[in-house]
Amino acid sequence: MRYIRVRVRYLTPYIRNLVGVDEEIITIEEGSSVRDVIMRVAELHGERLLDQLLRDDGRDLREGILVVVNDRVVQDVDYRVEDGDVVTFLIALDGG
Amino acid sequence: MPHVGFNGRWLRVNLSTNEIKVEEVPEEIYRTYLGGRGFCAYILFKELKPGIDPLSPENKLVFAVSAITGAPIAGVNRVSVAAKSPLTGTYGEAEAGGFFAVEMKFAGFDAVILEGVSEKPTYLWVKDGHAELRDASRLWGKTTKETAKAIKEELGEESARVACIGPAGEKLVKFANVMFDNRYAAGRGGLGAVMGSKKLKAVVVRGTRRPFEFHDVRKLVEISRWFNENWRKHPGAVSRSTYGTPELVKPLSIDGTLPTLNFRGGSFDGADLISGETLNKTILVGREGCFACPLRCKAVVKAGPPYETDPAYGGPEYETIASFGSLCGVRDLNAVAYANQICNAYGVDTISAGVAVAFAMELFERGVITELETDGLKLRFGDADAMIKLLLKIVNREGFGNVLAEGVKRASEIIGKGSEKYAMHVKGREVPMHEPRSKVGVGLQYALSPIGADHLQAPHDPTYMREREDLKSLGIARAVDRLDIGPEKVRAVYYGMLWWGLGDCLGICRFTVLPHSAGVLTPNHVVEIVNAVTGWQISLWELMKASERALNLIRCFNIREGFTAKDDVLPDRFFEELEFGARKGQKLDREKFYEAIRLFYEMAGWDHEGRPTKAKLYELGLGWVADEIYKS
Repeated sequence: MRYIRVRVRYLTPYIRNLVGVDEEIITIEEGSSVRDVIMRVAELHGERLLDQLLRDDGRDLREGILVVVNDRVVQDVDYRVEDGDVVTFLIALDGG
Repeated sequence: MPHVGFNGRWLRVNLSTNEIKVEEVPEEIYRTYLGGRGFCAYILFKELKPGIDPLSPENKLVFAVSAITGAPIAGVNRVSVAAKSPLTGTYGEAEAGGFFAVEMKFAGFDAVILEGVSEKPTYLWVKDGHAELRDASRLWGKTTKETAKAIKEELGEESARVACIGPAGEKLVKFANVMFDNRYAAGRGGLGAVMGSKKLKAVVVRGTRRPFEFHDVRKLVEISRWFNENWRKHPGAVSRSTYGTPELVKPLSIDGTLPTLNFRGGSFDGADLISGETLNKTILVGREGCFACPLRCKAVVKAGPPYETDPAYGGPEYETIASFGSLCGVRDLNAVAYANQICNAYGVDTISAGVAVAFAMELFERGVITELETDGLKLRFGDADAMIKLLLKIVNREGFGNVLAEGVKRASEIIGKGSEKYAMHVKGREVPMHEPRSKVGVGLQYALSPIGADHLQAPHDPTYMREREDLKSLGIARAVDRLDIGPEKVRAVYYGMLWWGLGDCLGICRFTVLPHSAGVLTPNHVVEIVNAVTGWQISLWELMKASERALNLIRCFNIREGFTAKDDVLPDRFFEELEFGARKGQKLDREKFYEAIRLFYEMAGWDHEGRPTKAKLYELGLGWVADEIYKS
């Protein structure tokens, strides 16, 4: 089995606070999806993170959550990540 | 027969004659205009003569709630305040949260219309269907906190809710606001100056019982319970509840989107020091919220010396932190909190005030003005003390502050010397703390907003970046990139303006309703709430049409005042490159931007001059408006 390394950034204070770091490098299996990245960081930082990022059925992100892989906003949690990708989790930066 | 869901009564007060009248309003008006923005637009278009001086007795000031105000559900209980704006000369409107809206409706009136001018300072006291004008001479000159306290003591009514002006409103500062219970603001457009011009210090309301029935209480309780059980599953809502709007400061700076040094750049090296996290760790002493809302997103702060603050004035929102922080280059959160307190105590809009200070700082640094003009103040970016001193001059209309109290547009006309290049406004209203060079749809709403630059006209670009069910239900089916300014973005902004405009007709908070990232309630919930309160069988289509009606009515108000497509523009700076930050070099494409504006007109049913066509007005049931706009 081959593994890839992905840099994960937590841009929003609330998510950053759940994780405890601004960003980190994680190692996951090759062929993993954004959902797999979420499962991995939830393993590392607690189930609360999973509950906040994914809907109850696990099929989609919760409203207001944006996941950006490199410069691209992910529309589907099955989106495949590659070695060296930067995955950013944030709450949409809309009006205040 | 009593109405279901609302009073069906408006209060009309002539301050010149002291005459107070109660008007019975037919249900048809409620269903056509819904309340809030809809009522205000209807009243002001119908009753104001074009061309009047906004600070003359001919202007009218309206407080309006909606058909659904009073429903025991989070985020549906805001009040609208409106008049012709002294800052812009357009229709002026602002909304406030808190508890005033519910109290006003329970006091027996869905709108209060204030006309004329009082001979001496006065305040309006409304309780359980009765209204009277009372002497406010001893309150003139007092801060908003002193005013609210003195009135409650005089009336022996601790539970009364007070909307009042501070000294800045009395002195007709063009961006004076109306403050509710010292900390909720109908902030923008200078409506506090209109109140001051009428010598009206306060409107005070108390309703000891709900004077109308709800159609389906069980449904309302069900929705309320669902909200309370589910909001913690929404990370945006939990985040907003934890940090409030200041949560935006640091991410926006990292993103290169935080207005900095009068919009020269988009990242601020002091962002950490003024961020939501820092606020929570240092000066936060509590959280407050609005009627029936468990989110409690409003910070209450207590800063220490030398910028000591009183928790009674709440705490700074994101807009305030950015306008007095990054925009002025100030990295001292205590100073920002103190500036917020000055604004709330004297009663001025924090956005316009912060932009005015940043404008003056840029002029000073560029040598356009010197200490000779600034009464000896060295106005350098980053100087917190100079910022506070200048702000105090503005709210008191002293020296150079008297110039800035006119707003940056008029101030630049007075100062001359090319200063207009650095005056960040649209239609005379200062630009809020969102960068259109990286959220281009926000640029469209700034230019197209009927009340001048405003960030709450439509959801911001990141909202449209993901396909979501709640967006699909509003007709926005495809994801659109934040920098895309093509037809899909124009369409998203147009539908977004109708949706958030509906929020202002119904008195709905942006944050608790999707598609805002903090949103919990869906568009379908909103329909259910309206029907459960009123017993109507209304659809989302009919509600959106009511919002479109209000938008077109306001557009026509402005056209009647002489505004044209030439006024739907952005400051030149946004077509120039960001000078520094994570998005250095980014700019708006002028040609594409104005092409998008023209496309918006066509989508909205407006002609190339931005005028709603006769057909559009007839389609919206506004034939009486078409008759006036197209009479010549």
